[in-house]
Amino acid sequence: MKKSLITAALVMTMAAGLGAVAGCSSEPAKADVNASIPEGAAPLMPATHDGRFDSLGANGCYGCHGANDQANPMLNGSVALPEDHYADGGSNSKELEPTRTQCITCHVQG
Amino acid sequence: MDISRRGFVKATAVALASAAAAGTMSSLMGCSSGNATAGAAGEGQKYTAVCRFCGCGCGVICEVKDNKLISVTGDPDNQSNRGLNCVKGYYLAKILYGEDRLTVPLIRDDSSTKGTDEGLREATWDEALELVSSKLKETWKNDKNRLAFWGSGQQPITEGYCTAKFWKAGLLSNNIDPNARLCMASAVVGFMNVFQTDEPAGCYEDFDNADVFVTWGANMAEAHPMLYSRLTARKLSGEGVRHYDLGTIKTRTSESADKTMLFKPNTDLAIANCIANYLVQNKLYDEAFVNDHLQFKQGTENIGNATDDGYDASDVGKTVDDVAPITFDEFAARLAPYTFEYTSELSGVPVEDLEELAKVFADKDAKVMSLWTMGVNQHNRGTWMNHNLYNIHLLSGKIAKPGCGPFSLTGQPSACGTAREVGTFSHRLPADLVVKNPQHRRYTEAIWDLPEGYLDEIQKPGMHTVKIFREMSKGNLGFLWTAHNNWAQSMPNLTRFLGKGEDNQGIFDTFIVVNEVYPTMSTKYADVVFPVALWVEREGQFGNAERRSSVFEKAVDPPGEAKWDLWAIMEVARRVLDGEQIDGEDAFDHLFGFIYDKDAADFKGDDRETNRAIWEEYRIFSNPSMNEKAKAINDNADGTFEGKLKMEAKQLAPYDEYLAHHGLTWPVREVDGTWLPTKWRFSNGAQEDGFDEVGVAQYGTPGLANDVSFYKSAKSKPSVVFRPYEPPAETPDSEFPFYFVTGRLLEHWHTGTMTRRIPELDRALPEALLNMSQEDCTALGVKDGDMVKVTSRFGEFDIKVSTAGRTQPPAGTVFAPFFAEETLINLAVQDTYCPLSKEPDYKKTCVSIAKIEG
Repeated sequence: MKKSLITAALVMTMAAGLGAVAGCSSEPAKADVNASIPEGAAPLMPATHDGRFDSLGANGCYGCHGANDQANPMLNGSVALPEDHYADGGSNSKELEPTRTQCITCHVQG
Repeated sequence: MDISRRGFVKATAVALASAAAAGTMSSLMGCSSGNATAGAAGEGQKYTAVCRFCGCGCGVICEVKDNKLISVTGDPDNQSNRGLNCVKGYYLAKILYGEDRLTVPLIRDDSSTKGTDEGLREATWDEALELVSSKLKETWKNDKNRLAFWGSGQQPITEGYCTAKFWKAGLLSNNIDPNARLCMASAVVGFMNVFQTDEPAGCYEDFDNADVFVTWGANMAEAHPMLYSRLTARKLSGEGVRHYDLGTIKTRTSESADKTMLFKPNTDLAIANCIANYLVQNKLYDEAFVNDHLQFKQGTENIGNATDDGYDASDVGKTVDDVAPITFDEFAARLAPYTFEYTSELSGVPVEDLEELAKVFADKDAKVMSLWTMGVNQHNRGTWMNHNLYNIHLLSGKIAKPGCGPFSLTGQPSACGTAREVGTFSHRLPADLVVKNPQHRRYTEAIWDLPEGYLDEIQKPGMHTVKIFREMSKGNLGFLWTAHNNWAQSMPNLTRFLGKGEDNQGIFDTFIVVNEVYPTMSTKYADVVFPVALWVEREGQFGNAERRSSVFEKAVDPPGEAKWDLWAIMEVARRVLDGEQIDGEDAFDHLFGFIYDKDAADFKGDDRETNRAIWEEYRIFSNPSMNEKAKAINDNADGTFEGKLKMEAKQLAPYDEYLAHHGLTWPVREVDGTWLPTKWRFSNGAQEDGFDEVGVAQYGTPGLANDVSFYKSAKSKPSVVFRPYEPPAETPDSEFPFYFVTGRLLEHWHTGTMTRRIPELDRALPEALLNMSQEDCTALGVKDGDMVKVTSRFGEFDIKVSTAGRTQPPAGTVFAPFFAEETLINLAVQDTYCPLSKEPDYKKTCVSIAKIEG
């Protein structure tokens, strides 16, 4: 079960990555969805991510919005996770703070 | 979705590698990092508050500029949420600013326009108040049985306290009930039957310490998002932490579960009994705990269903609360039929899954949290199911210690603080007291300074919620006042209650007053609408599911002529009570003169001073030493009553302590001049560490099994009551072949009157869909996006079908949320209620589904 999940994550993330090279997303981003959100509010997902969290969980989000040794975020054009979303209070940990793994609880579809 | 820590790290490594492989590293492209949730700009005035929505009771910080709320962020100093929030919380700032805010009073002159968008005209406050007061007074003087107030678990504590005082002491009427009846009543009756005191022994910190979570009929991922984040965080960071999800449909909450067990409706009763049977038959229960702490009972069975109006007065209806003691062996014999095989056959859950779950409770070292909400409470045997959950936790001793315990989640921000603790129910007085108990009435009279025997007139409980609306539909209600709810959308059986058929036209003849902030389904039926302050437009308090009372400060002024609800209640009260006397004094002044100057038609102090003064009176109920007469009754000093009331078991602190600490969990104890909260009730240990040291020392016995002392229970022993499996009120047949489940989804709060006015939330979840299995769709010849008509014995509605919705019901069951007024699902929902708690069963109405052609 675990193995197949990781494989799925690989396929999905590669697809997303390639999409980014080709111009970010198959659908144009709805650029204005975060135009009038209150100060300090969690931004909405501007691009269609339907089903992504449901199938991949936080990994599916981290793959583009998280940090690695070379970049933060990993994917060009992605909004980087803020530092307080990482374990030990900073992106150097390369690991999410456990209470921040229910991404869609705050970042709903825009 | 696999969410164990190891799985997460490994998958992240894969994600890293794949992102690198795709060559899209942003550093190479020169992208900078954002910091989207770092908080607000920090230039405005800040106020502490509590979220307006669910029962999690998250603390928030409101930031205001130029009398406008500009941001709401999580409050790191509130220990319920420690800075966490959900999407609804982040968008709270926008709920105040919908374009159609009600800012002037409205009056309907022609009641035949009810149910339409027409017929309400603008009026002055004076005209509206005079009209409402004259109607209430007329009804009150002619026939007190024909008036009712329907309140809410969203009503702030001090407002609920004053409303109850006006209704119970001022009008001497018990016809007051909250919408919490639709939500928490089964939990309340369960608590009272088992422990003789309401609300959980544990607290939210248990989430950080549990080894196993069991969710029973609870979609926490959508209905309690902050607590679900804490659950999954514990699962991610703890070693071997497991989660079992039990329900009748798969939800987002099933996503993180190690195992989801889908059972047939009502067989949760049997599953809990099966676990208890396993513990008892194999002697795997906690024997010392059982011997020291428990008593065993059984009650009335084969109780039928409260579908007809005459149920409560029927032979069986009158006996549903009866219980009788039994021995442990008799209890064991009652459980014996609930073998794994029998239970599996009944429930559809495989034997090995039932066995795995039973072994969780048999494991002496495992810290287990059971979590439940509406699947258990909105159940035709809701009270029984609460009993059965306590039974397995009591038998295994898994209660009242960190990380362990049965935890009843609550649905609304102050269902606990107001509906339950203040007691705005038809049978209650403040602080768990009940109208039928003479000692309770004497105690209340002492605090409200009423002559002895004054409350004897209200010793008989008033109408519960479903009865209020049933009587209204029959034309037996002259006056109804509602606040902080939207009954014309949230009540079940709306076909009847909204007078949609030939019969039951009573709604058109009842004078209905609605306190509201926006036009709603309920204002369409109102004769008068009072425009009121919303959330932080006045100061108030909420009490959440972990017994935490918190204050929300006034941050901005209400718009236009909108006024604080409490001002409208005071203005009506002073008019209705004009000429009445209590103990030789003007009745209004006697009850409310300490906060209100009726000649000035205003409060004597500002919001803070008014709230503090009310709180300090309310606080006497749980601090009897503040009132000599009350103290004597609490101590049973002259031996008139059966025993002591032990009112300190719910002790509240002075008002300003709550502001200073951003909320405190009761009982709050004064130790060397400092007020300390209690996190684990009945559990002996240092008060400064959150244990109930003061309570156990005052009324309990230290040194018993697990060093727990249930000092508030009769004989200090909670009751394990055997409750059998009994079937749902309706089961599918050829005419109505599907179970219909209703519920809440993440983005929208209840009937959506606030969240649907936030553009971002409305776009995220714009319409209510009927979630169906592909199998059922195929059989019915419908596909995603098709419109269908859903019909029950109670009514019908039209809705769009989706197989890719938020929930995944199994074949034979369908789900829809109730937030959308244009998709009024409650037209078809049964108003059959749990006979003990009178809470309706919203989860299993039987329906037929037919495609609408064209």
